[in-house]
Amino acid sequence: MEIKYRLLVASLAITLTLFAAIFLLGSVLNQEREVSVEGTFSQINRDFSEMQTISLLADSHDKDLACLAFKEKLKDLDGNLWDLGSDLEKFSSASEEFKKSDYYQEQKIHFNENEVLYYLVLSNVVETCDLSKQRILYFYADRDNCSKCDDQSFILRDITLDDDKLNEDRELAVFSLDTDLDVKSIDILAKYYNLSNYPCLVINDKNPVCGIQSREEIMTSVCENNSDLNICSN
Amino acid sequence: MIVAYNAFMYFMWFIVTFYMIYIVLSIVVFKHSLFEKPEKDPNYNPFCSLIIPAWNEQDTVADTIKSLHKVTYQNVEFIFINDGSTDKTSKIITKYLKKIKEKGDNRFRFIDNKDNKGKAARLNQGIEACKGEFIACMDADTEVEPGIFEKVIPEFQDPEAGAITVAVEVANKKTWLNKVIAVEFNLGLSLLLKIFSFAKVVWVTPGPFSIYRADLMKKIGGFDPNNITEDHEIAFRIYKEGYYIKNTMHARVFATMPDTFKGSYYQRRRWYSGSILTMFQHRKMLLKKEHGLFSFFIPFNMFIIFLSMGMFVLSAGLLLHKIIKNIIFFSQTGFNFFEHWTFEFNPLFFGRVNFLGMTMFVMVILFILLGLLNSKRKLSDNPIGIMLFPFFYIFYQIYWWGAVISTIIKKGKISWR
Repeated sequence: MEIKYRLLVASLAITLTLFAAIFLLGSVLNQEREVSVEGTFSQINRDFSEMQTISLLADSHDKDLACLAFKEKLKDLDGNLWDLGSDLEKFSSASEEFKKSDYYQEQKIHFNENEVLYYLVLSNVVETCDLSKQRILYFYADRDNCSKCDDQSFILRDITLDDDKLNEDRELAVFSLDTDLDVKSIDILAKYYNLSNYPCLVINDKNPVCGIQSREEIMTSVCENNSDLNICSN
Repeated sequence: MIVAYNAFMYFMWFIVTFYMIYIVLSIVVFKHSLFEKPEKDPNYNPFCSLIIPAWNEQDTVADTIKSLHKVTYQNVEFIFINDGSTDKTSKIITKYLKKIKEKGDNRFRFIDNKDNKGKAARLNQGIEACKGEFIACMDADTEVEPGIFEKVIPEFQDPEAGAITVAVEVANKKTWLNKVIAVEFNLGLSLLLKIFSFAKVVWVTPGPFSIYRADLMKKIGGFDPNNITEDHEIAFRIYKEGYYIKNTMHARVFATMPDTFKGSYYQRRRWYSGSILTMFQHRKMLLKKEHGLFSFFIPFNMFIIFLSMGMFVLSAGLLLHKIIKNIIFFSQTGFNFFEHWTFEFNPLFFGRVNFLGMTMFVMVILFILLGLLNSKRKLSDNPIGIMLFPFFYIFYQIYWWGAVISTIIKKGKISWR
């Protein structure tokens, strides 16, 4: 075979090898993503079990000690849920295959269920232990049914990042709930607050508001409840 | 949209990477042959003719004459042909040729036409008037090395070589754009032409300087006066006659490029419109085994260009969408761009498309570095051009889009100037 044809064949072989290597690397990374998500989930599950134990201790033993432990655990749970949410978002934008996988969809449902659980635990702890943590329930739908949801997510993320910067223990807890996932607990909450058009926010269990809320509007609602918060003085 | 983009990206990646790997492999394989010289017969000094058509070249033609005066090859005639210039080109040529003649150099001739017929027509006039065994054509804004004929003539020992091209350098590298174009020429009009000449697929005989067999030129009827890229069109007819175009990297010429982006844009628009029209003109030659690899290479090259144009539009559209989306987002939070800026490196945040993009970029860098080093260029000679060259792709797209749109709007009737 002439050298020019040999070069063409060699180039084709190298290109195919490189393509296969990148394809394989993509699959390996998808597996690694799953391992990473599972690791964070098991940590979150441990946090939840521990909180249940602390809750029982608060009822039967020392409430003050239990509340102290609660506070500590809430911080961990808050961080782990935040990391998980953020990883899921980044992983899904890095890999279309990961985003479309059944695994990702399952984890998303699992994550949303955990968000509701965390919200309920937190509401309980806030009352029992008299904590000043503000809770925002954020109901959203996919882009086709909610053109403003991305904007609302961005505003809430901006407020959360500010909170993170100002406070070691966040003063705000934002629970993002995807109403398209068919998660029963989310459907119940949406029905309870009589929500149909998204985005909707429920701040500290009061007055649900639908339609995009500006940063100022959200902060006014949050600070009406407790003006001593650091984020309110910012 | 994202799915279509990814699918397109995979396809584009495959085609472009294959092409880049082929070039890089060729550089490595032919490394020692790039500057290989054929044996020179000291007794073989055939008579040659050099035709230099000129239209409004008052700023450059004097330097062209001076450089030709220094040419060491004696058995040659230099034929300047004025193409009805409206500036002082004719006067300058007359003045300088007179001076040179006084110095005893009788190699120069001047045909002073008052009417304007275009470059190809003037080259044909020169072909009719000349007596050389080999005919060289050259632009009137180009300067040559003194030993150029001694370097190119031995290349015709290859009986299949119908034309020889040389390394084209940018003479005026003052602007950043020309620095970038200088790198493009180093790679594209020197190294790549050499590499492609090994595969016998060189698709152009660059206007700044190329030399042809006179009998071949006369047989095929010279240049096509109706084609705006006569140096590309003639390549098809050379291959049709069973010859190929060879390149030598030893001989160099220095061409003056437009100093402004606008000038460069018009030049490129003509080149690229011309290549589309020429491919259409010779469509019957394409994908035919009897015309060799050349007939497959030309449509493949064009396919890559149109593929990259599609990619460019898709990428630009996605980027624009992202920018608008971010402006809307940040408008909700008082445009606090940098307040929340964080950078976290995690390989898990990278997808296949990112890796494909990275390998393609690495291949481009590898090609530039290997290409320049094996072309015996010093990277320190033109660092700005080298650094900016990978981003030349954007200009390239603008040039190409301009060419495509012009070709469609003007229905193929694009003028030379």
